[in-house]
Amino acid sequence: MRRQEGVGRREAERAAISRGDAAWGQGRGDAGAVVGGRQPLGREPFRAPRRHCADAGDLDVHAASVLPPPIPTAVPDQAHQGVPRSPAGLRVVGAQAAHRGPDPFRTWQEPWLLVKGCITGSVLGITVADWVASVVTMDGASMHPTFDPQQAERALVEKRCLYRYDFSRGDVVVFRSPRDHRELMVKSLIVLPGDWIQIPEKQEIRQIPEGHCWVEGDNAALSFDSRSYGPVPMGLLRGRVTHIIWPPQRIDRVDRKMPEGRIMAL
Amino acid sequence: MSGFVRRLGGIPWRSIAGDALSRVFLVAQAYCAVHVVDQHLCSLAIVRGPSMLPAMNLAGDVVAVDRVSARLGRVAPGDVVLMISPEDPRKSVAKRVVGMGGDSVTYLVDPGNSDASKTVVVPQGHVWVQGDNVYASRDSRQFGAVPYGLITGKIFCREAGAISGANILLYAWPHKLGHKQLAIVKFAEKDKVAPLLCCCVHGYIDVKFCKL
Repeated sequence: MRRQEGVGRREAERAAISRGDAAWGQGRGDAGAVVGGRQPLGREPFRAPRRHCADAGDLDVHAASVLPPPIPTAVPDQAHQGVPRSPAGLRVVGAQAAHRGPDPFRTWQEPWLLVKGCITGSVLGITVADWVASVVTMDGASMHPTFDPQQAERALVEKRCLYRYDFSRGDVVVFRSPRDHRELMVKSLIVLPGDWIQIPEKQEIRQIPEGHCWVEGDNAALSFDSRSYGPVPMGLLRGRVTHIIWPPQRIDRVDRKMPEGRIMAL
Repeated sequence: MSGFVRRLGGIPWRSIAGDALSRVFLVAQAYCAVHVVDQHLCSLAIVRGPSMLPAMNLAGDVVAVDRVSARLGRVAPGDVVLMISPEDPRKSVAKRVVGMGGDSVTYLVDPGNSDASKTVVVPQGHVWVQGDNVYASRDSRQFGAVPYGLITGKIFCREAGAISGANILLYAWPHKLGHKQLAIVKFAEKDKVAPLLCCCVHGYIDVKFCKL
């Protein structure tokens, strides 16, 4: 009795597919029919029957979403009827194939998924670190009140300011050192291009050329900054520090601080 | 009305949303992969301008840029590099490296007007870059030695004439005549290229047209 019902339903399904009837077979709640369609891409659990249905993706979503019951009760009849184009028929044949033994494809499936996940994660991580924000570890006492030299603090560096190079005076910025391109330095950006700055040590007043900026550490005595190597090209800037995120008792925003009386802004 | 609502309820929203999310994720993955390859491995760029004649085309060349060797520090004098301009961080320029940190570089200060030359020692961590066409190039002679961190890639391959309809193959044989260089230039398609070349390089080099 059940077998005949199954046969009838499959014939109806085949007819529906050949008609291209999109609405057939969904929302019916038949016993064994999957309501709501097939598994989303990329999250299919490994199941041998689905792998063999290469054609299923070409067919209309709703018609192909009606899966046969997982237990192949009607298998012997359907295997003989063999219209190979029907997804139901193919799935049934595939279910048979799964019982033949361990699959060489299957043994590489899990490690391959792991590798794929790692590659995806690293690509996404690199893109986020380049365009959104990244983390930098502090070292040294040149920014003393802002960053504590005793603990290795970690700060959040935002990269959105690099899209149009819109920095403000007083930002704490991260940049590649002009003396060694592999090193990142963290200092305060004091002056923007075109402004004038007074350097008390050399008793001179300089204008910052186009495309350059002047950086100084908050702890003036211990800081190796623009007073030693001059204005820094803005192409070396790699981001702006917005928050301290480690250690937990120091979690806080990093605000702008301006030295008084040394700058004439245009 | 209720039939419509029932049909709305019958649509498999969850699977559609799941499908849409996974496709969006796929697109995002592809975009991120392109970004990583472009910024960290190898990239294509279009360079144009008179400052690297005759190595680079005036109207534009497609060049392949190697990002890995620049990041590893394997740039030597003689390489053509792509770097962020020290005068405007939003612009990239292509120049040739003439000296690395510690080298002593002798250069012509203003070759169009005088024979004066200067010698300078390149500071550590900096490079001295010059355009091949010293008459029409803004380079380290104007803005000084450039920190190595501004170099974004090394140009290793050039597709000549890939830009625009006029296929220009530019050959220049420089013959020194006093202070100016006389370049004899050969074009593939004279009628398309000649007016362009004339108005762009007039004043930098004198151009003689030969019948092919």
